[in-house]
Amino acid sequence: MAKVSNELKIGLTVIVAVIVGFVGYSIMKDIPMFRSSTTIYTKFDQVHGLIPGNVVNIKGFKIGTVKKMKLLESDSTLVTMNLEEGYEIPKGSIAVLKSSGVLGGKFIEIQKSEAEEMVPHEGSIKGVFEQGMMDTFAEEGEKLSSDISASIRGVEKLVGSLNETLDEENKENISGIISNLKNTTGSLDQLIQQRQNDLDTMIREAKNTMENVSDLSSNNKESLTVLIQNLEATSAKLDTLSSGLNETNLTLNEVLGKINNGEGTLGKMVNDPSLYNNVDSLSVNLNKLIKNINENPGQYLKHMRLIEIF
Amino acid sequence: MNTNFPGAAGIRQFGHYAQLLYQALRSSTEISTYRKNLFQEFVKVGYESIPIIFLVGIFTGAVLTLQTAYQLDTDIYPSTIIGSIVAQSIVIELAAVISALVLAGKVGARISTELGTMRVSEQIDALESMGFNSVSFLVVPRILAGIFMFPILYITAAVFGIIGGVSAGALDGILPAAEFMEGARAFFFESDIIFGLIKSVVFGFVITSISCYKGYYAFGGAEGVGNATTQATVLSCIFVLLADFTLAAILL
Repeated sequence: MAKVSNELKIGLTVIVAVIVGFVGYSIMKDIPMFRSSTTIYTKFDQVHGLIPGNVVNIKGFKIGTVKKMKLLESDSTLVTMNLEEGYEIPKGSIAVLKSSGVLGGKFIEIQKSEAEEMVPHEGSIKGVFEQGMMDTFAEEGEKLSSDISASIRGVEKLVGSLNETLDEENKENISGIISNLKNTTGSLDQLIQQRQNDLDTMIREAKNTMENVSDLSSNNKESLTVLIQNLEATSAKLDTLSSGLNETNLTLNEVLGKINNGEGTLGKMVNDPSLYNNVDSLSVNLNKLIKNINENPGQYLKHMRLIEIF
Repeated sequence: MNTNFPGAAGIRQFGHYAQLLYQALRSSTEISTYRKNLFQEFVKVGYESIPIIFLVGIFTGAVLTLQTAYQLDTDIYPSTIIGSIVAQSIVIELAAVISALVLAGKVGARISTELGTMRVSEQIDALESMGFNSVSFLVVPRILAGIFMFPILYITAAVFGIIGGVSAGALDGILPAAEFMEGARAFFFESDIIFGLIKSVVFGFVITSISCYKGYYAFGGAEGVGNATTQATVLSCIFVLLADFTLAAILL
């Protein structure tokens, strides 16, 4: 084999490098090399950072890429899309600019129309923008920030008026208050120190009392338990008693109701005045009778011959 | 005037280096003297570096993909973002810089050793005495090889870097190739490639010229050649990084 000359090696290296570089570039740019593709145009008023190389999807499936973008004089952007071979979209379809993910990468989603006719090569479709999550956040954030600045102004005002309140005179007053407070605490301190012994005794005594109570309760634990049990039993009895009373009450109620309604003897006695009237007239008559007997006992006694026997 | 102020040695060396570059520039028109050498250098700098650059590219892309996936292991980001990060990092930075650092070892060391050995064995003096312009004969083709071949090596590194990234992502089940490419395409700009190409040209010039300078003025026998090679490699790396920073600051 003939020795490969340096020139050949270099030529080969350079050619291969250029080809590899070009192919790599095309792949990275997604420029179709061996396949035919359809170019279509769309126009957006607002592209929100769409860049060449972003994907074109139908229902999330990639059918092409954004190839070129150009800002028109009307401030809208002309976007050139390359559709891969075999994909066509009907006339009247809409290109929707969307955001993907949190980072806000953009892509174009084609919403197909029902039309039979397809968009030809270098035809154009309508473009609309749809807000993504992050864009919404950003806009909301702007509103929010105005709210926040309003609150901050409020806080500023507050601090300002606080400053005004804290003018020289008030400052003196406040420092007077604080020094008074200081004095008070000082006297309190002194007081406590002076009566330390008393306080100590007091606390000790309270402690003793508590200890006594504790002793008492621990010593008489059993009796206490019994006491509590008795109390429980008593309360149970009371419970029964009260339920009995309840029943009695009910019965009484019934009886009283009957009386009220004039049922039975008692009822009649209570409700019917004729008995009283009878008794009243009886007593009047009795009075008369007794009076009469007193005045003329003979009139009555002559009939009673038995008395003459004695 | 006191010429021993701190840093004077460095400035003198820079002046010396500039002088050599000026000579090289002036004699770059004498193509007939170095035409044959030029092609030989193209082969040595470019053609013979392709295997190592191929490996550098593949592994840079693969490792970058795995580690980016590891770093972004949350549900907040779409997985396509891995493709965006890997591809753009490779195109802007890694394909140019990692290749340059590797080539500072491979190409820079070879150039400075070759020229240094020729200097200490007095072959350069022999060329001069035969009436050859040694700068034109030895230095110019090497620098030109750096300037013309590094962009080609950059393209190789970038293409295989992205291929490595896609393969690592797909084989390791991190993200399908289509998603990787979707993310990569979303952040793929011509200006990035141009930036990378500019970087690679600058790096090619920096590495070959520094190595030529260190080798061409080597002295002190075998040890001197060793020193010159070490310095050439170290200075190349340092100036590649400095140039990288400067270009990023100016051009981005």
